[in-house]
Amino acid sequence: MSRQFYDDFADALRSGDHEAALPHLERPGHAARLAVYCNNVASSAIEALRAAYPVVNALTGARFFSPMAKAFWKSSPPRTRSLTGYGSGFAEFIDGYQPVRTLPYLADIARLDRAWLEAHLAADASPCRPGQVAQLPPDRIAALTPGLHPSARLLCLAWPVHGIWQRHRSGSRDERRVALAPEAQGVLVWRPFGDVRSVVLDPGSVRFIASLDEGQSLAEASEDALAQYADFDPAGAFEAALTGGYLSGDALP
Amino acid sequence: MALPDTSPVAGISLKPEHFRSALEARADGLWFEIHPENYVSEGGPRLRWLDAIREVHPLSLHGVAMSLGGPDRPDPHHLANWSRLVDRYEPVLISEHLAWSALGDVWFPDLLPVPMTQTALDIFCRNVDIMQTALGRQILIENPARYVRLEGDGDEADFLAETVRRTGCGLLLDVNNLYLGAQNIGFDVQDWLRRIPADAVGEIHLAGHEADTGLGEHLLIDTHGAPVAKPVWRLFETVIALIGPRPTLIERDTHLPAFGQLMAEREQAARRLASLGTTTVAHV
Repeated sequence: MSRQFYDDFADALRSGDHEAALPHLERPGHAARLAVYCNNVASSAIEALRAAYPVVNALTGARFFSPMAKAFWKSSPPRTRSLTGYGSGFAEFIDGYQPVRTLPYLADIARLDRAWLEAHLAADASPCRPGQVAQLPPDRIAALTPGLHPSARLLCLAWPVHGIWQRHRSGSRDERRVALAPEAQGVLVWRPFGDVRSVVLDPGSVRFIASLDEGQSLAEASEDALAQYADFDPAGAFEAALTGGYLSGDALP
Repeated sequence: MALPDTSPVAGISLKPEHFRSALEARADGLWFEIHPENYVSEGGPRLRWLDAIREVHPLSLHGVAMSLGGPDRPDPHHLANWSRLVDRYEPVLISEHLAWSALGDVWFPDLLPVPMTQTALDIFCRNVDIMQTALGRQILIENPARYVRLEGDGDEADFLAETVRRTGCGLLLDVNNLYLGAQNIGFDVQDWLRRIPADAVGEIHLAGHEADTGLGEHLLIDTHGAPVAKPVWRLFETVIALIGPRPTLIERDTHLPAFGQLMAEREQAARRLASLGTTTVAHV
C-alpha cells in the first residue's frame, strides 16, 4: 500500500471515472463495482445540499437541482468532517452557473436558504428582552452596544424574493416561477428561541442593524441610519429589534 | 445529568424524524445510536432533542468520518468535536470504522476500502491509538462492508485481531457487513468468526441491504434501506450462539419506516438475545 492508492482512488471518486483506481483491484472484472463508492460520495453531497437548500430545489425541480449540486460538489467538496453545514458558497456558485441564467434571482433564494440553515445551527443564546432595558435611563440605553443575536444573519438581496421564499418554506407550492424586477431587499433571519424567523427590513433599519453588528452603540447606529435615510425611525427600529429578539443579551445588565 | 439506569440490550439508530417517538419510547434495554457528524453544530434544536433523549435512554456514538484507515492522522478539529460530544452525552459505547474517507483536507462522505496490508495495519493502529488517547476511552472498530478485493489484501479477521491486540480497542461486529462480504467477495464467515477475538466484541450491528441497481444480486449494497434480511437474522443467531449476547443495534438510514417498525425489529433482536441469557456490555 502506498499514498498512490489513496491518490488514485480519490481521483476516481472526484471524476466518477473508475480508470484511475483500476490497477489497485485484485480482480479487474470488478471495475464496475467501484461505481458504488463514486455514487455514494457524490449522492451524499448532493442530498446534503438538497436538504440545506430546499427552496432552491423546489424552484428548479429535483432533476435540475442534482446536476447543479454535483457541479458545486466537484468545485467545492466538503472540507470538514460533516455535511451538516456543507454548502457555504452555493449562492455564489449559482450566480455563475450558466444553466440557471433564466432564473436570475435563484442565488438570492439560495442566500435565504443558507441564512436559515446557519440560524438553525447557531449557538443557543437568550436574546435581549424589552424588560432588560425598560428600567435604564435614556443615556444608558443610548450608550448600549448590544450587537446581534448569534443566530442573526442580515442579507441585502438584489431581488425582492423573501415572499416567494417564505411561501415555499412554509409548504406552499402554488407558484414555481414568477415575474420579478430587480430591487434591493433587506432581510434578517434569526432564531431567538426554537424556531427560525425572518423579516423584511426597510433600508434605514438595515443600516441600523448592520451598525449594531459592527459593535456601534444604539446612538451611533441611529445617527448613522438617520444620516442616510431621513425617514428612519430609531425608536421603532429598536423596539422591533427588542420584541423580535434579534439583539444579543450579552452586553446588558 | 445522571445516566439512565439501564444497560443497553437492543437499540435503534436515531434519526431526527423519530426524535419525539424516541423520547417517549420505553422498553427494557432500549438505547439509541447517533452519528456524531450530525451533531457538530454550535447549538440548535437537534442538540436540545438529544439532551432530552439522553436523559431517558443510553446513547452511543458511531462515527463515519474519522478516516482511521486513511494515510493521514485523525483531524484534530474533528477529534475536538468528538470530545465535546463525549463530554456532553456520556455515551455508553463509541465506535468507528475500518475505512477511510479523507485525503488532505477533502472529505469523501462514504466508507472507503482500506488495503489490508502490513503498512496499512501500522497506520490504522497509529490512528486508532490517537483517537483513543484523545478521547481517553476505548473505541470499537466496525468490520467493513466489502464490495471489492484490493491488490495486496490480507485477511480481514487477522487485520482486526491484530488491531485489537496492538491498540486495546474493541470490535463492533456488523453482521450485515459480514454477510455481504461472504456474498460479494466470497470470504469464509465461519473462519472469520473463529479468528476474531470474541471477547473484544462490544457491540453488534444489524441492518438491511439491497441488490445493486446495475449488477443485481451479484453485488449486495449495505444501504441500511431495508428491514434486516432473513439470512442476516440467521447469521446473527450463529454469532451470538458463538460469542454470547452483546448490545445489538438496528441500523436504518434510508427508506425510513415508522418508528414502530424499527421498535418491532429491535424486539426481534431482543428476543433472540434473551434466549441466550443476560446481555452485558463486553469488558475487553
